Amino acid sequence: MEWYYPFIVLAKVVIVLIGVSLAAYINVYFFRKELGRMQSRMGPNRVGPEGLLQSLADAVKMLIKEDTIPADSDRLLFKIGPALLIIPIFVAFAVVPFSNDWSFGQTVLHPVISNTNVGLLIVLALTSMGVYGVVMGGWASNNKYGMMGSLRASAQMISYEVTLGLSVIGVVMLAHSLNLGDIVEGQASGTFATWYIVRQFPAFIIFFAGIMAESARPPFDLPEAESELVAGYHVEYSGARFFIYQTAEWSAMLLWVCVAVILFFGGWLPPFGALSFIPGWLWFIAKCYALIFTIIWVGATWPRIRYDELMTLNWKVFLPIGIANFFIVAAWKTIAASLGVGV
Amino acid sequence: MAKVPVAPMIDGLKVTFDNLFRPPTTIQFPEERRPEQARERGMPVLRSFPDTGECRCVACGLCEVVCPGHCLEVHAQPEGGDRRVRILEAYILDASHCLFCGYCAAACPVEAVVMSDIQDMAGFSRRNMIFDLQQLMELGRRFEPTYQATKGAVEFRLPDPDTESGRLLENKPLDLSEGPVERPTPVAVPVRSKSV
Repeated sequence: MEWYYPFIVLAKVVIVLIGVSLAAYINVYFFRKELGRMQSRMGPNRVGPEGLLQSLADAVKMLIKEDTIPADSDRLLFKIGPALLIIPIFVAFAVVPFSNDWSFGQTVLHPVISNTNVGLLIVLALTSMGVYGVVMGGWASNNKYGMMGSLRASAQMISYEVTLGLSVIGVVMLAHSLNLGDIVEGQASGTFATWYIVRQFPAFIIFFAGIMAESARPPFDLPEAESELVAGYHVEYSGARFFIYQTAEWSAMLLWVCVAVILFFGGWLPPFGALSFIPGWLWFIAKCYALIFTIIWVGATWPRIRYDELMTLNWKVFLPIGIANFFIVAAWKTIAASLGVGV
Repeated sequence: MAKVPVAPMIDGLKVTFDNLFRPPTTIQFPEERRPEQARERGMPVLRSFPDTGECRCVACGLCEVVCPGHCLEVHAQPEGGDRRVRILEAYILDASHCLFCGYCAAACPVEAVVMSDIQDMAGFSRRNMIFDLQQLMELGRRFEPTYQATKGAVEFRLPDPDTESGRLLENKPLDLSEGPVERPTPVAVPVRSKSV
């Protein structure tokens, strides 16, 4: 280990923190613009050229607004709620590889902060902690909408975590690894035919619905349904704390999209070998934004589902498909191993 | 397993995706405007004779009488003690209650009050909403070419029963072949008696 190793890690942490925060705000702009155009509106177009600085203006506005705490709230829980939501999500970015290795002469730089062997497990563990921030925020607000929002959020997130975890088991079995970088390398063959979305399409549908439910995007936005719950669990939040909740939501969506690209879309791999002159990180970003586009597109189209439909979809549709997928992959691997064929 | 309506969901996705490439219907109001219709009415203004510059108003006060918002004031002075000759002294329009209804223009016997196309009337003070004779005449002079161009179209008129179009609108003759119009028979409704 070289002497400058800690500085490189520190630099990576800073770059990822800034990059993720910036991407979260770009996503907000992207979201508002795309949603506007899909509804025959213009979207933000006043602040800066084509409204590009709208997110910045919103952020500044939220940060300088008064931070009110309701009189009858649980002040301690109210304050730590946003932090409990945002910290696990930012920590989880530590195991996400954003590109293939960069080599500068003899030195090889891994574009991942922590290249751990249990990366996927860490992502799942940390994101499941986010629900505590949501529940605490809603409960501590001492507000009926906040509490109902947090109840819905806890039930929804915990339910969908089950199928989300189940859907990635097939990928993990195929890749033989929980390391996110190894999972990407397991899909490498030169074309997109070996990406796990081709071999694990039902699992991808479950995973995609799961990430939309986890980040509370429509049609799974029951925790913050405007027409029913005003804003859900963060209805009493204002100023900087509300800003943290918003940042956490958009960063969570970004994290899940990154993980989805790594698990199912071959991460930084080009779809055709002929396109490999484009650097890997560009492929990664392009795939991430294609998925974000799809999430917003779906959210702009489908109406919010009812609560019983949400649970029915999870427990009666996705769970059986996930379990069947798990057994099919297991049987396939066993048969292939007994025949001596590589999978 | 529950039923998931896949085909309609995909149809919906097509609709939103097509919308993405359609130009937005928004009109960016202060910079862009819809073309004005000839029948649009703005605030009332006063016309004047182009040669002498005198106001056409004869101070009859009909506009003040018909104005539903009581936003017009016509002050007249009898000339030389003769009550039959009225000289216009002041004409005040408080546009902050004006409905742009056009009754004043319809009532005016000499086409002095006309409805202009002025609709941008925001101001920082209520005082800015009160127009006097000179201001209304100046606005009227600016509006005069437009008034001459759109004169017939902006006329405020009730359906005329003597013309074909008016009959279609208002006095459509009853088609007797349809038979008498059935009306529901009145039903006795119990009324709660007032207890004193």
